[in-house]
Amino acid sequence: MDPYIAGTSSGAALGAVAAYLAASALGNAYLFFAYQAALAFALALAASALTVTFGRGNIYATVIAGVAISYLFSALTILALSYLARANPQLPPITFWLFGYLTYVDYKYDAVLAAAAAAVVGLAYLEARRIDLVAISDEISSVRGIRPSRYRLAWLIGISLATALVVAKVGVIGFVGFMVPHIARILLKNGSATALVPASAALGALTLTLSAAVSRGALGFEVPVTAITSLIAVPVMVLALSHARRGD
Amino acid sequence: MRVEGIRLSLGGREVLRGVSFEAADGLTLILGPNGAGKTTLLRAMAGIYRPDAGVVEVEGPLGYLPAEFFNVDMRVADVLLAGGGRLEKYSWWLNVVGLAGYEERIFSTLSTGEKKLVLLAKALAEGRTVLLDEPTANLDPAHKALVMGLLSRLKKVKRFIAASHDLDLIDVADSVVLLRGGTAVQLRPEEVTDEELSKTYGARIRSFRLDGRRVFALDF
Ligand SMILES: Nc1ncnc2c1ncn2[C@@H]1O[C@H](COP(=O)(O)OP(=O)(O)OP(=O)(O)O)[C@@H](O)[C@H]1O
Ligand SMILES: [Mg+2]
Repeated sequence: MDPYIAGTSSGAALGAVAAYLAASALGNAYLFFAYQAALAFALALAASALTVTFGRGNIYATVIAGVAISYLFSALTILALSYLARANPQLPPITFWLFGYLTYVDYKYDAVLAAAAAAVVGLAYLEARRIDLVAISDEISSVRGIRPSRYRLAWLIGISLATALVVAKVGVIGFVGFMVPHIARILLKNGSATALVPASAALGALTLTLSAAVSRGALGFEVPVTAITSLIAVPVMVLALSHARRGD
Repeated sequence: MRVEGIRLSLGGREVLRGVSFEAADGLTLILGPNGAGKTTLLRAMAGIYRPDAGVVEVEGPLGYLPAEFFNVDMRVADVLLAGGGRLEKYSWWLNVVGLAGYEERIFSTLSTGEKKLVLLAKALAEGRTVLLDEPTANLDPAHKALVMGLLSRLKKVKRFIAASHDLDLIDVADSVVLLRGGTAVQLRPEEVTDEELSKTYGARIRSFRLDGRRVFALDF
């Protein structure tokens, strides 16, 4: 599940903006550095939890809940930022939070992001056989000592944390998490996490690097990364859908 | 292995109202109409549901053949290896169920019966005690005969607890549990008369002996 479609990243964005709001209300400019990631994490988790709760096992309901939740959190983010913008002109613009800019990343934070990404990818790779089992059957998972609902919850928390760290720094970058595993799935013709995790990590890094290059000058002016990733995502979605209908 | 007085409610309805039975060595067959609670009972034994009352004593390691599962687009080898294990062991069981060389096929593209056999191979490889939900559903006569032969031979070294609507399995069973109205009656196979079956399902069922096998006829 893409954290963008699940509403996770919109929740994280609101959390990060809420940290600005709190800092400016208290008149303490340094406060938000300490709490930004934590607040982003809390709201990312809340957004994912709401999506999963409303989606309750049904894939269509989950997608619709995710879209609704992400609009809700984006709307709250716009409200908070419109309020803040007058008092704090030095804040990153609204488009940063809603559509993602890689321009503001600094090297100290890069290390944190790299570590978080490496941890998530590494853990997913180590857990790939167990992730596969939970994808196949609750019953078989259970007799093999995995509690499927707890296992899914643990991943939801882990992914919300990683998403929060990313969004707090680069805003909401959409569709990479959705389209990359789909391309990998089509290229590899194999939906096992053992194949998808490394392939998606490599392909995701490549896609985002290329999208970032395009977004920062290839068009002659700078645009948010999400505009580029979304432009790539639509044909991929069409491809994925026709692929699913053919059923191979 | 035994289940003692378990009660279990799902969605506000008490599905199991004090179910007890003993699963000795061999094959224990659970029969009962649609919605009787057979799958619920197997899930409770697998630890998915925690009963409101009663005890479940199981002797692992457990294998489980689910009646419903996700149609994943993984290779058969990945499905077998899901959760961990060695491929040689699984390939051996794949041979036993008649699917030699299926490792590289994509699970979601297999037929309904082939998927069942893949998951049966997985369950047999993983369990000393194997819980089977509808082991013969969707199988053609030849594959059904293969599975019935397999169960009757393997039940000397493994313990099976099978839920099914397939009355032919009574001939393979060492003990039969009839689930009706949320409670269970445990009988020896020869005690499962046409009257007991008719009462369990609420339909008129008659059977005849042919070459030592019991053959069923349904009146409608
Ligand atoms: N998660 C659930 N929530 C609410 N009710 C449920 C749930 N799971 C099962 N039930 C109900 O419990 C009853 C028993 O279901 P179960 O699947 O155990 O029946 P079964 O004997 O396996 O039937 P079948 O022969 O059709 O497979 C059914 O009435 C079903 O509607
Ligand atoms: Mg059932």
